[in-house]
Amino acid sequence: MTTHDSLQDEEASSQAAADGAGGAATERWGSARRHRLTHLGTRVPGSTYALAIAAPAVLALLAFSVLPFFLAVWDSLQAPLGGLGFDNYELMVNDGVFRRSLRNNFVFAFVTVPLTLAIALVMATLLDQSIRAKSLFRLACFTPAILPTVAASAIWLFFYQPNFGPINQLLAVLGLEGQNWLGNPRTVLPALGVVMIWKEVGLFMLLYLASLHRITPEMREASALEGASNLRHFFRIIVPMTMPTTVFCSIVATANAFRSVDFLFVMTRGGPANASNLLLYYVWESLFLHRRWGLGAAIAVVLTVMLLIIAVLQVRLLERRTFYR
Amino acid sequence: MHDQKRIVSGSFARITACALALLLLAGCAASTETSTDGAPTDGDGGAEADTVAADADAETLVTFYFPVQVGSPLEETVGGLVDGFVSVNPDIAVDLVYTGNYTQTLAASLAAIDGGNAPTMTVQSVRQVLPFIEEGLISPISDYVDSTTLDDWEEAFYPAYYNEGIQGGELWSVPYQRSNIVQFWNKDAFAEAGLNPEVGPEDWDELAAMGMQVQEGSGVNHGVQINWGSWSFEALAIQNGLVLGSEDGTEVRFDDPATIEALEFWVSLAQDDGVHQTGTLDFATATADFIGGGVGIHWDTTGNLNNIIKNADFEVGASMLPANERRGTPTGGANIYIFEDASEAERQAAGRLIEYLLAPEQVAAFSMASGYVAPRADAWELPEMRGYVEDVPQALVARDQLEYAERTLIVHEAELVVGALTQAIERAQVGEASPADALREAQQLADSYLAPHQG
Repeated sequence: MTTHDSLQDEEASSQAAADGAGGAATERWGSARRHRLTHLGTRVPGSTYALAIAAPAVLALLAFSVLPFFLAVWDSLQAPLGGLGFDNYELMVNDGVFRRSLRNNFVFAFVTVPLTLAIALVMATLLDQSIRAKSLFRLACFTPAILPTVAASAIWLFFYQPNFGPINQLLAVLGLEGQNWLGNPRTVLPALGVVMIWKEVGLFMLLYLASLHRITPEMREASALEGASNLRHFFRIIVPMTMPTTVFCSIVATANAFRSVDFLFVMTRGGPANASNLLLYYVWESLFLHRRWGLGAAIAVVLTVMLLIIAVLQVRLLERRTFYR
Repeated sequence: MHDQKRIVSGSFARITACALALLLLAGCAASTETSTDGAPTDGDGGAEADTVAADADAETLVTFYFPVQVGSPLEETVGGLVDGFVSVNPDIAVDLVYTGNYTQTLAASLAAIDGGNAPTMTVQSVRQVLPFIEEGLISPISDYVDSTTLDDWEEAFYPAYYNEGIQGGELWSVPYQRSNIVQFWNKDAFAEAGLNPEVGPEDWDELAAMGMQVQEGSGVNHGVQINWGSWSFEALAIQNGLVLGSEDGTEVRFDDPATIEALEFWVSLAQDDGVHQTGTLDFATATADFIGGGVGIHWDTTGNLNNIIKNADFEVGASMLPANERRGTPTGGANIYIFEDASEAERQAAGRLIEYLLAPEQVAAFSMASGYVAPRADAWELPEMRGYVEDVPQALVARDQLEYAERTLIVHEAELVVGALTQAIERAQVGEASPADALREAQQLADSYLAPHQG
């Protein structure tokens, strides 16, 4: 472990050195520009200026995130028979569908998020090479991310159809037995996971591509000089150098795994027998179908708090292994 | 109860911003006419420029949320009917908003009402009548049509449909796109398998046997496909001699031996006889499966009739569902409702639109475009309707089957109770629980939901 760490530090410092040399010109240009900006800023006190800049965003955040959250907390504490209490939370904890959705959602997130990021990074690394028709490949990989989810889900619904869906037909050609992918509790979550990864991977690939562009070509040359294999270069240079992007992407991807449930509306509606129900979909069902406002609010509160905790943990854990330039 | 309506806002609104894009689409469609909603526009003619069939001098704007549950482009049909209404009623403009399927339409309606932007009227599942009344969301239709219309309706409509809108002696909703379950079969596959293509199965034994024969003797993947989950299950229970819900909507009989036997029969078609898809199947893809020639005998709503007949490239047979103890199907489909939160002027205008839409000619036009049952007897006497059933005799099946139809599960806490039943059926279908265990569990859940409404 120590040798690994020291190696990484070495790489990191060499990167910093390379960067320092190459970045001198940028630095000069940047300071001139900053000077003009500060000059403009001197007319207004710094703190007021900062506040004014931040105000629209803060107001939007307060109005559309913070306030609704506290309203939901308030709603969730309304006891069905009047007064305040934790009745809705009790109802929630004893609710089999809630427990199943919670378990489903964690399994879903913890399987799809690492896979999504891993595939995105590998794809970005491959598409970062100088290959023919590079832009075409990049566009192709990004297409799923820009398709409307509902339309894409409707297509996937037919892909997975057990009797005439192309997936089972392909399996039949290969001599394999098809599955009722979405109609079997054992296969439904993995099947939806594939759709989720397919949908998400393009966006994260794009972010990784941007991150890869910041790694100077000298690193590649240094690796070649040292005789490091492509695989070694990938794990020792690319993976650590893109760690800031990974931190960001893992937070976004985890949040998405909990909040992107649009495909459920089209593909399974949580079935069969809640085997693919996810928390946010259950919130929707509770509110709009079952009209259990208190229960829905309670689950929404739990979901929000859970996501906050996960985000904080991710930042803490991954930051230790992250090198910011 | 009105307090409950208010409590829809919450942090979920933020979290779902992305995820519920689907629903928000409907919501946005509704919010574009915020300025004209709630109060009639006083001669401010330009305001409803974006409305369907709007008239420059219109004074009252009716917002009409319309769902399509089946695979036919019915929004065009309804749009045409509404245009016809507006052309003879220049003082009314109608904003016809296509709002997805029943569930999406329900969500869009509840959200719009909660946002103070209530639609004037909607077409919604008959199951919503009790929840709507209880939450004070709808106004009785009888307050907005005159008594001659009411007399006419009472005489012309089929009681099986009409009576479902009557609760506590008042007419709260009226039948619109009404259905029941029809048995379709692939005549070509039947002939290929050596079966008489003109006759479908008449009872449960024949269903299993003919399903087996057509599966083995033709190119279909499955002999039998019973579509639509809990709704079709109601049919099986009725055929087994039992109606699942009590008349007053406070009790269900999910754990009755007859109910359990009905589920055992359904499950055995897949698990023992191997003539039915195992696990569950999305209703849209199930219909597509039959249309594509993958299924021998297929149960579906009559609302899919025209979709099936137009798109299948084989001869389609249609008959009433098979009998066991008796013949039977649940009623199905959707009624028209007027929302309480719409302005008085809007509701008056909606009453006139409803009178128009429910006149024999309009009812017949809608039925011919879809396959839904024209819910009034005199519509079937019109020359165009007579011509239609001569060309498409399958359209008569659902109407004639009304004789054996029972009221579908119209219960309090409708979505929760039906949801519990659906979960039980699916658990049995995927082999997670025996039909008996699954249904007993569903009974316990349903009892807990219904307890506040009993006694």
